[in-house]
Amino acid sequence: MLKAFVSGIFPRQDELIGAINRFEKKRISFEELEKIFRRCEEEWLDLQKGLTIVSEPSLGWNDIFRPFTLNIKNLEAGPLTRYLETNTFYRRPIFSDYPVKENSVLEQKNEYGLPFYIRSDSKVILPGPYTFVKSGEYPSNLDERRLVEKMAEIVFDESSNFKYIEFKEPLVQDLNILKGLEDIYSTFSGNGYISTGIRQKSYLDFSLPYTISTYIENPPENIILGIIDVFSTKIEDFQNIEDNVTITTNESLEFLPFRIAKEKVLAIRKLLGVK
Amino acid sequence: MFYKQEIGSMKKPDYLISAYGKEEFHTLKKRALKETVELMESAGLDNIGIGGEMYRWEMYENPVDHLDGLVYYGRVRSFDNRYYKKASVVGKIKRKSSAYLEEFIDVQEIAKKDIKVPITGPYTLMDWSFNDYYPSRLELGLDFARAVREEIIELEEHWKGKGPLRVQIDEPAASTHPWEVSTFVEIFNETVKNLNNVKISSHICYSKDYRSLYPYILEMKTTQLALEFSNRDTTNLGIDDDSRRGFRVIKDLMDMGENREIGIGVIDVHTDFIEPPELVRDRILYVAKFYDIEKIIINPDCGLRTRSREVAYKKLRSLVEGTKLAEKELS
Repeated sequence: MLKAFVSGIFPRQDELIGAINRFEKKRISFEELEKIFRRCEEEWLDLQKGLTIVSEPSLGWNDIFRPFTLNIKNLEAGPLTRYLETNTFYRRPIFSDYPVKENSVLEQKNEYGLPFYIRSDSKVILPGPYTFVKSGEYPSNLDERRLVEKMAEIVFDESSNFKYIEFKEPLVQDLNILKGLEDIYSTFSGNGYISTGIRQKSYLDFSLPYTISTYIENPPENIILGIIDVFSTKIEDFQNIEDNVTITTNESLEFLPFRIAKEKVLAIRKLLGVK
Repeated sequence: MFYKQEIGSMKKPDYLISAYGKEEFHTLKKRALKETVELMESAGLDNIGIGGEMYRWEMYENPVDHLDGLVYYGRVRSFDNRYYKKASVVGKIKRKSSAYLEEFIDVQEIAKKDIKVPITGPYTLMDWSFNDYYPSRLELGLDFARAVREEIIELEEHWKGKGPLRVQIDEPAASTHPWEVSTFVEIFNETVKNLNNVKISSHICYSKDYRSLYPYILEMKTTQLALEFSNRDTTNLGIDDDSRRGFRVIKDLMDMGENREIGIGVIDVHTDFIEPPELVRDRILYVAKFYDIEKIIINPDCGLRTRSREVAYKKLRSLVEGTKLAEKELS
């Protein structure tokens, strides 16, 4: 049976962008902001009805690392840094020592006092530990592998409150890197998958399902095809998609304007026969 | 000794922001331009750019609004809760009207100091758009280049100042795709070919790694590179490699053959922290240890539009005062 869902942080609606701006300028109250935020989150959850997996829109996340850079000991949010090859920037995680989790990260509030998630039964994104460390900066006396392991412990511990997890690992761009993370990901005991930056048509056995951003016929069950393009505003023509594959987006939906992201989700619903 | 320049944008006064999209925007923008030019000149800059880009809402939207072949479907995040309208290319790119001329004519009337016209570069216009029409990025980029070149030729025809017209081509996307730097250079050079009375500088900011632009960037037909360094520097005083870690990369660029004028970003535009003049001084003195002093230009990392006008003014004052301190040391 064909399976399909979308990935990552979702685009904020214009209404929410405007509300956050007005809140920052103290022109609306927190209660007004929160009301709009929840309405926008609900709109996204509603739009996904009928998809194989419903994802938290994560509209409160200012970047994929931010809940952690703000709430983990020995980490702070550093300079603005380009995210992959996009024109979207994140605050680089700066490690001063090995990270230590003192409180539940996603239970904290964001910069505006909004929650990082609203439903624990939806798919929640978490930064993959490899991408997290590789996207950050650390003193030369810290060991990179150890940092990845420590981040994995924190992220996996965080995941225990949720039913289904998407680990964002866009810097895992070939199978060798993925293979090198087998020891780490094999300690994850929940349900979920890794969204990678892999474009190769080959694949390997791995303890978790993972995405590749290309189409292959008859893929193994643990391969998710990231073929819905968030870097194009053309709506996909899903003809010739086999009905035994699982498809998703090739990156976070937030790289599309809301209107197009919504159209892509509606196209997926149509593909799945959802009315 | 050192030439001090603005890079581009300044936050618009509240009255201009609230007039956006209304008829009065067009009557108020000249007032805002005049006030911003005065602010920059009183800060002590030698070059006030185009006076803070008061006539432009945004560096991408402004030129796109003057081109055929693009449509908007909405906004995409730049950072945090800052978003920009990202257009989709749905037809052939052609210039339909002047993007910069009115502002250019007005600033020439007002400014007492040097001016420099920042223009959004063709590679960045291409990279910041969705391409739903062209078969290749190069073909799309070259059509943007031709449109930008027409803009520069029009400005040159209306230049009333002495010497060459200074044009700064902003290419923040230049290093986004390291595998495509030769394409970037080809598009850039198509933009500036056969320009007679124009001095071209190029502003590239928020690069993951400037080294990734080399060696191709050496072929770029520009007399100056204005780059961002303070964003990745420490705020400690000192002229040692560790304190000045944001500027260390300039040594690598020299090793790779760079010897053109270099505009060094000595002010971080993404924080309200006002750099003390002594910090600006040390940033300049550090670079002066190894780069030809005559080829060092002083500027902020980027345009200051994300800061309040008060903070921006204080930062520019610090830039000027810090430069004076450096000049004193070096003399």
